[in-house]
Amino acid sequence: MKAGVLSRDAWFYPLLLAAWGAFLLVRHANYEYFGTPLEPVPFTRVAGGGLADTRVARESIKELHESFAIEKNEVERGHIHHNIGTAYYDLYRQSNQRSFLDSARVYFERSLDRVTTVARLYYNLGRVYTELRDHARAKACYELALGIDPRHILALHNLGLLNHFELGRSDTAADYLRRALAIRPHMPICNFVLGDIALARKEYRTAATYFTREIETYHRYRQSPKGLPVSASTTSYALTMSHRRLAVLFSTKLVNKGLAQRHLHAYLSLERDPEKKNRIMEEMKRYWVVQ
Amino acid sequence: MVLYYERHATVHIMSKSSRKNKTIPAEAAPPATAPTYGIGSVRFTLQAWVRIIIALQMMFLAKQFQPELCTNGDNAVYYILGKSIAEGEGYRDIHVAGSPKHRSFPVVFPAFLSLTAGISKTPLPAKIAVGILGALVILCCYRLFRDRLGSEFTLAFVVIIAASWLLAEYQVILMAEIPFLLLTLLAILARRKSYDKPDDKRWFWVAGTAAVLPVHCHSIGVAFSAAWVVDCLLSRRYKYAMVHVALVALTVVGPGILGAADTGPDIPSKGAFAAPFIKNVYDPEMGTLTLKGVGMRMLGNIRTHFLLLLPKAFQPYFTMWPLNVGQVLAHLTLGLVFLGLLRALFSRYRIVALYVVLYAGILAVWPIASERRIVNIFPFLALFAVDGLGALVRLFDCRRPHPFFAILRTPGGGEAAPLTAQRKVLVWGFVAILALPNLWCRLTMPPTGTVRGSDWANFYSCADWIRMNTPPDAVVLNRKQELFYLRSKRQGCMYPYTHDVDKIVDFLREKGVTHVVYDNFGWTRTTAKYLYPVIASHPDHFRVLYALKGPDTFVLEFVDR
Repeated sequence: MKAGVLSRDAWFYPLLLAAWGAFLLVRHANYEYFGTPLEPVPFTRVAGGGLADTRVARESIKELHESFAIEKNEVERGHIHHNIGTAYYDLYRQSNQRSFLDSARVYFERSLDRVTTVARLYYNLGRVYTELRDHARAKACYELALGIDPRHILALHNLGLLNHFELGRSDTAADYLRRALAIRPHMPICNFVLGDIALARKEYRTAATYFTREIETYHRYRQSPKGLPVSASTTSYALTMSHRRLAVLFSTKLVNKGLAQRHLHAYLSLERDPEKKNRIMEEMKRYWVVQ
Repeated sequence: MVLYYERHATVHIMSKSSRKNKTIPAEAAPPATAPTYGIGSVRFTLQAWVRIIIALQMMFLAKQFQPELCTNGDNAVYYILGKSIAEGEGYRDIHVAGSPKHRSFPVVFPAFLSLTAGISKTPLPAKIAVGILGALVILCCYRLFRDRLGSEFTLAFVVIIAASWLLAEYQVILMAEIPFLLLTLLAILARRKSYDKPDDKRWFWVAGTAAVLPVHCHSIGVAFSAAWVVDCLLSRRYKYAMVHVALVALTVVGPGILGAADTGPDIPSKGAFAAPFIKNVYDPEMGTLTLKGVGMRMLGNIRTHFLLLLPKAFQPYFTMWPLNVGQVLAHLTLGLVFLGLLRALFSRYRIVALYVVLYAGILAVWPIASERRIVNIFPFLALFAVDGLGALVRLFDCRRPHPFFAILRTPGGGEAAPLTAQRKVLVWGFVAILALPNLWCRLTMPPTGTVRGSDWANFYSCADWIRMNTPPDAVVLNRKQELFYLRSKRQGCMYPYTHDVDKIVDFLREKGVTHVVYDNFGWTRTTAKYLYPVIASHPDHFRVLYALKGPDTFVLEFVDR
């Protein structure tokens, strides 16, 4: 072959490489980097706030155990213990198996051997003791958490509920719950419990104010992007019961038929148990007949 | 039929040289009629063979080529930096919340990629450009080392590097390795031109400038700069050494000393100097190594390189051959590499040997032993292997016997008589043993970037969902923020590696994170280790917006109050 244009590298390689590039550009002309999202799966968050089923928590526990091999820092090791405890607690909330709760307690206690300055660690151990119905220890843990962080909103909240529902100390409960509301006015269930305490003291107008606040708070924060620091079932319980209390209050002590009917209807729409529905209907009929 | 492709090219070179009245060095002067190589009547000149080999290599590469970015985060970072420069944002991590100045990769490769950013909104042109640079690497190797090896061995050398699965792999992904390699070759080529034409000051300055580019392309280029200076001093070319030191000081150290590092690119050498002493490059909080720790790392790296990475670079399936034949062949090749390296130390290509030695020194203490680092020196290793083979073949040539101790100075292919037919079979057998498994690997290996499990599919699906369902200023915490940014068009950040969940929550607040991607990658479990405890212990701060199964992957909203 006679030497032509292609016999010189200065021509050959630019032509070859340009042709190669052009070929690839044409071949992938329809290439689109972006895609369409896959179809999502229906997802309901489990009670403990964990993700999906127990797999995620179990994988986390496995990985955290492996971290012990490389982590020498005692504080970090304390946090690893705590995180394993959290995962076990999550498993307990998903499966309701007592053994997970015991494991969570063990790991939380181990974490406190190494880290003693973090309020959350005491608070989480307090939650475990609450579940174990060891109220004295739970209370001590929450108080230790508050000793480190006096504004620990969840410790205040849990201490309030613990004193009210389990220890029967309404005054102390009211004090903690008011402190919690001062920090976070939209804290769920606090207003409901304060309303119940006022009701027990026969302060009907105060009670009605607290129940109304509970309902308003729920509706305001249900539509906002903010999450709620307590479980949805607890929040829903406080809402339902606030409507019920108000329906009864406006039928008996603070007579207002319109409000009573409105809260009764709201209660009936929220309550899923037909027996409870019948019971309130019977009660209401009695009040209204009397009136 | 005998084909003579190069007759006119030769005449052209001769006439060009004579026009300038320059003396051509004896070894560089081409013969009046170029010899041809081949089997039977199919014979071509060396230059024509190289063209054929490069054309075939590009065909193979076209088969391997995929337009997607591979799942290595670094290639996305390079691409993003190129985009940032092209969009006039400067040298910034535009994928990170707050778009901070980039502080890790030197600027040359991203600046090159910025030239391709205007062509398309996809990484396709950038990837094609890197593929083209890879072809130029082979061409430069041929031009640079043909004098050293002689025609027969040059052809063998070109076949080995053109067939290499390792070089091909890095030609089809967006990494700085191939451009860096090309720049080192161009610098050596320019220096040789400058040596050959001492009166032409242009070549002196071209060589001086080209020598500075590698260190600005890859942090590990400090090895090249050091080799350059040492070789220039040993050759008594003090001017070259001084100019290089001055230019490096001006372009690398200068901005740091003047405190301009905040406004300009980071000091490239910093990474190379600091990394060997960091316990974990992904978790700098773990601190630095002790002297014993450095020693242990060196031992581990040397073992990994000699038992796994280097043999695999030459023989991709070296562990799969029956009766350990692959291992034996791979380690014989390494023996030839060592011989070639020693020989190069006593030749005019000493800079290559010095560079490889210094580079190996850095690799020995580098925190991560990876085949990626071998790409930068693979052609030089192949050169040493072929040169070592050439020396062995010549040593046992009964026509011109040499004393065994003279093996380091036994003439190479370029200086010796043609090989006998038996020795040709030996050389080409060696080439076939190296090249065929590499070609097979390239043909059968899935194209880079396409091997994605369902974990990656879910992760990218989350990015698509984020792009379509969140405001443009959303900040997304995720495990692969660079790749995620390109797909989701949302800035992001990566969680710190700490078991203290409060620290992570504070970090999320500080960065203004609005969304979190909970991935389930099979290759790393850091999300399960570090992020899951945060979500489990702060359930009120996270709300699931989008969930996928198999494996479980979520987009969560971070609700800060």
